[in-house]
Amino acid sequence: MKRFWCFFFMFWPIVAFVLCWIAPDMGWWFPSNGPTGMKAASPIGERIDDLYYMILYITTATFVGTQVALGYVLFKGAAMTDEGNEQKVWYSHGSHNLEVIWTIVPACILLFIALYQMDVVKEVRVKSAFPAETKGGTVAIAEVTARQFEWRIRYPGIGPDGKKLPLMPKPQPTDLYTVNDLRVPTGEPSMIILQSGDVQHAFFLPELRVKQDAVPGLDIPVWFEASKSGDYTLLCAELCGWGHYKMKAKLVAQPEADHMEFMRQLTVQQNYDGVPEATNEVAQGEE
Amino acid sequence: MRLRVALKIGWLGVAFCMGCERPLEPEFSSSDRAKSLSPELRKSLNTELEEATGTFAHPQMLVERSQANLAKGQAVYQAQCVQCHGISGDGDGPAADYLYPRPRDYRKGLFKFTSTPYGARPIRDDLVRTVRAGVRGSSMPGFNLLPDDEIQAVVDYVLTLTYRGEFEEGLVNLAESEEAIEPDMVNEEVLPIVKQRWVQAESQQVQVLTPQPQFTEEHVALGKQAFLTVGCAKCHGEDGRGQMPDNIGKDGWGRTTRAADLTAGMFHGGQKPIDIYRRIYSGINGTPMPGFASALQSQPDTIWHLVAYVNYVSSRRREGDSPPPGPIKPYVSAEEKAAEMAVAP
Amino acid sequence: MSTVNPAIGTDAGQGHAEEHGHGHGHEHHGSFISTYVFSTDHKMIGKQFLITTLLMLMVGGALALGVRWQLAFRWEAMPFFGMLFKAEGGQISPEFYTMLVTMHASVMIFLVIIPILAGAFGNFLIPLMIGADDMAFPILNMLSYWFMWPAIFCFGASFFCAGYGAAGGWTTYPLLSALYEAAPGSGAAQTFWLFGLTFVGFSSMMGSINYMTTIINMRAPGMTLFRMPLTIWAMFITAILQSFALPVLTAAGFMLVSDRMLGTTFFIPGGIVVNDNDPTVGGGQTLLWQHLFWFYSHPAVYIMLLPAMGMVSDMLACMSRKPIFGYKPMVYSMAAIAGLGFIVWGHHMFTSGMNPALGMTFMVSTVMIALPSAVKVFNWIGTMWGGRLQFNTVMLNCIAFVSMFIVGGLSGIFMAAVPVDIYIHDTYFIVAHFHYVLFGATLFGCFGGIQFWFPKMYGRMMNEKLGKLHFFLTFIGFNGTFFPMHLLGVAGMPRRYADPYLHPYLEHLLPMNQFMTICAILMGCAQFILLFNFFYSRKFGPTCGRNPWNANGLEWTAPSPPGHGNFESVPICFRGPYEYSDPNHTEDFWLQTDQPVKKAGDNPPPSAAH
Repeated sequence: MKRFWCFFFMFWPIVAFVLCWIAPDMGWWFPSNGPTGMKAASPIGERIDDLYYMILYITTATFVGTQVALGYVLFKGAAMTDEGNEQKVWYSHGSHNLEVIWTIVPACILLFIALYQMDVVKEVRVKSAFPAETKGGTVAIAEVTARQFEWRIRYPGIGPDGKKLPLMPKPQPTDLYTVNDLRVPTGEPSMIILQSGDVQHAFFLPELRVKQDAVPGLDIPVWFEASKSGDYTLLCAELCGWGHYKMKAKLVAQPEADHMEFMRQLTVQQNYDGVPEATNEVAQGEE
Repeated sequence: MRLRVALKIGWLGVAFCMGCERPLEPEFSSSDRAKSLSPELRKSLNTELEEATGTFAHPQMLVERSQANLAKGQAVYQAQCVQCHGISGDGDGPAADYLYPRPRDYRKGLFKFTSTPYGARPIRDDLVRTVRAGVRGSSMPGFNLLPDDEIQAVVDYVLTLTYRGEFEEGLVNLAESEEAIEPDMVNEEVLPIVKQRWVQAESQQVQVLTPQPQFTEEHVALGKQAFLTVGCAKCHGEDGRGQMPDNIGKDGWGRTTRAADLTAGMFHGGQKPIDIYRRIYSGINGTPMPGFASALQSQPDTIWHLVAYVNYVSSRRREGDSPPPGPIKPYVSAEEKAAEMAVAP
Repeated sequence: MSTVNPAIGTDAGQGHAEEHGHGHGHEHHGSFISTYVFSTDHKMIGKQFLITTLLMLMVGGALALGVRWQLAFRWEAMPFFGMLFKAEGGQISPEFYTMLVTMHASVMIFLVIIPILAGAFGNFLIPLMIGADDMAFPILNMLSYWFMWPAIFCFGASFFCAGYGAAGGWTTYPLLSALYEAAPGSGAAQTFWLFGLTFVGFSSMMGSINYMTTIINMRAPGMTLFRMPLTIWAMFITAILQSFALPVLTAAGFMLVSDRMLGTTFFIPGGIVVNDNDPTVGGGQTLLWQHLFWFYSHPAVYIMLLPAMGMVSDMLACMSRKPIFGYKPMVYSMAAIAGLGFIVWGHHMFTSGMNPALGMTFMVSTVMIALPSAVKVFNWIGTMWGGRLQFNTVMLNCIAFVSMFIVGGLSGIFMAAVPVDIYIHDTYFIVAHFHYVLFGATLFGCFGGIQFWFPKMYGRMMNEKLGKLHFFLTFIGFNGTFFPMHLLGVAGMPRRYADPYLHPYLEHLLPMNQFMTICAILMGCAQFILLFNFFYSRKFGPTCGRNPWNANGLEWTAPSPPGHGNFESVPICFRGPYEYSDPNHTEDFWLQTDQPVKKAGDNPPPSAAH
């Protein structure tokens, strides 16, 4: 029976390992619905994935190492109680050298993991390290307001010269609005200002590996870059009430020209007053 | 000892299996008024109702008497809407008790955010727009990620439920006045009225009196003046916050309601200029908010000025202008406030 | 001769106690109420805690099964429990789902894990293991149990409030929890929940003051700090953690209650419009709550783990018949975990929008807290290395503890790294991580501890076959339920979603979730075996002597079960608790109370003669 338990304890790490090994092929891995498949859809996302894989390899090595050691210990310890085994128990209170080794080595690895990530953290979070297009976190493409249970998006309008106006902190009469539909140009960093209208939400773009809480009372800049055109999922990742699961929206990355076209259409829709251009005269005449 | 253990396990098993009973298929329910009729009348009412609008398993659209699309609409409705709006569209789903404002009860045929005049039925596009954009400031989210055919289908289903409710009410009225429900009378009196309202609405869509201007500061200033003089301030208050002692009214569903705090920025019917224009022009169905179409007939531009001002007020807080405190938290709901007011002299 | 044979047991340690007789133990015949209900005896209080928490474990488990049911068979009527729901046809409605999630976590954390470790094992073991006759403050101790009941009542009441229960998540982030209208279903329930939390806090606080005083002041002669079993060290460090961290949470809880009820705005910023209500007025900060909450709740994670680590160290040494490997490093690493535990709370808030510089600091401290845990794992393996392993239920649970803790610890490194955490934060990866630590480690440790100290509690052995069956099923069910969650997390499935399959990129995960739910049901059913084994063995288990496991600790020199006052005479401690298989000693264990002898064999101590 004791051998059975040894095998039992060795069986599950093997299952776990195999499961992780086949997971990418089975589709149990990074979301693969987006235009870029399983690969992250943004340059910074790819670097996050690389970090993920680095940690995965380190932890897998540790996992395999410790489980093998455990297995060895179990089988050996089981053999000690066999009939006729005269071997003595290893009477030891510990080893100072070993303790030092297995404190210093993991410490170095862990410190390496921590320091190696600083760059990415800085680029993702620290305003002064944001890409040049956002001018140090001052130029935003839209203001996204999370509400129970939808995303309200405010874009700056289009000026008389046909160019996009800057997004002002205060709403302007020229502003354009959409719900659950965030559009950004492909291939360039775009920054949004994230707000919450009521409770706390989190802005989560799984395919782009972006997540940021929308905290009531704070305006939080978030930047990301979609490397391919297409539809991406946008959802809420912080419990925000009973409808948390259905706070579903889409991020649409479009080429610059399409993006401007969308903005123009939005302007037309926004200012649509039910009067066809040609019949304006008639409408006025009726009063 | 063993026996007792076996018995206990057996009991647990029995209890577990009892729990496995399948729930009943959902069914449409009757309105309160229909329930209070005598049993015979109820029976004939239900027969008529089923013949005209079908059952949950086989719903049928009253006006067109068609069933196409309804299966799909029902599926969408059961997945997305039923939690709040309830199986028969009575706005009494399991979540309804916890929502403020309460979900719409379709059965009256009253819809608030329409492009038709006060009191009229909405046109189909109004419902589609509400489903797509949601109702800001309520728990109704926007469903614009649903494919277009699903939105159309679910609107069909909502219309089915609405017709059913209106038809039922008509039948109840008939039953109460005539003490009988004859098929002839149903076909001559009840059905045509229900149908007619919807057909009429199609041709009543409100057109703006003047085209939308480019908004400027000047419009806002003019709008403010109008806001104070035309009558808006009577309910919404001079600052638009609605903190007026007599800001209490009843809505079409018999619940207490009050004029909105415009500074909250929660424009239920949408925040496009044309949406706000329509609210001012034709009022909000089922609420004390009247239409100003006739009052402002002589000065059509004023409505656009008001739109500009209302829009400005909605972002007052972001302009750095913080109004004095409103009611003290914890929040006092409109109902409670009404009760309080009834006690106070 | 050397192995453990629980059925026989030895009367070791009885020798020097016999002449004093049992006089002490039988003088205190109280009434039923003073013996079994309002008892001030630490052993009775420990048992009360244990049975209460085991029952709460079943409640929390049932809530978890509700969650799993919805994730596997969404919107389908739930068998059995479905009858209890108001929602249509026994369905789990979305608001009920958030309540299930919240209450599962709250019950498991505040009514199971914290009280079973500190309350049940801490109470029962501390005086016995350090050779004291009771706690320093027996009445305070009794109160700490009876303050659990208002907490259970408050949590329970929140089930029956309109809208089923608190639905703000166990972290109760404002504004969802601060504004009534944000989660309309949980109006009064959320307030009750907060009061429940306060009562749990009172209970833990009274317990930890008691533990600290007892451990510092009431050790038996010869029981120096570094002769204390690791369980006691763990309890001591836990008590310190708790007494420093808890006031913060209690204060924060009251602030939140006053935001809800008195109109203050500690956590409520101005201009917030929930649904159709008036905009809020005030200048509060919601992030403040997160800081205060995690300032307690991160140390609380170690409160939920350290005692189990201590207990497992004791059990592993005994069942390997070997001294613990690196006693002092074990103590120091526990102290390091506790110390670092106070400066890592920010890693729960990497995505919350706090200052990024702060985030980087927290990243370094968080990554470093993995270090003492790693040292402990290596030491546990070192303890088993070359030992004479006894494959009984106790040992199996302890090996599972080590094995599962490795997984839980390693997955923690992913979320300590900010960029990776940005992606996996609030996904099922986190759920997998803390279940591996709190269930995989702590609860397996507790299951082992119950089996190990049961003879001391009731004077009878628990059934070994049932224990192994329970372990087997629980282990399989546990890994089947929680390991795939790592993959769900990588696939980006967010937590607390009533219907994740609404999102196309998660649709293909439904079969995996169904598999997990079946495993969870298996695991849930397996707990009935534990309950049955517990109550059956209490009445019908074979009786045992004082020291059925041939262990060294002071508690094994007391009668089983110990009478009032625990020991017949004041025990005197001559050595550390881990002197197993000392080549200079005839037995493979050496009780802490045995008189030292100059040469082994020359003059065998009386206890060894049989």
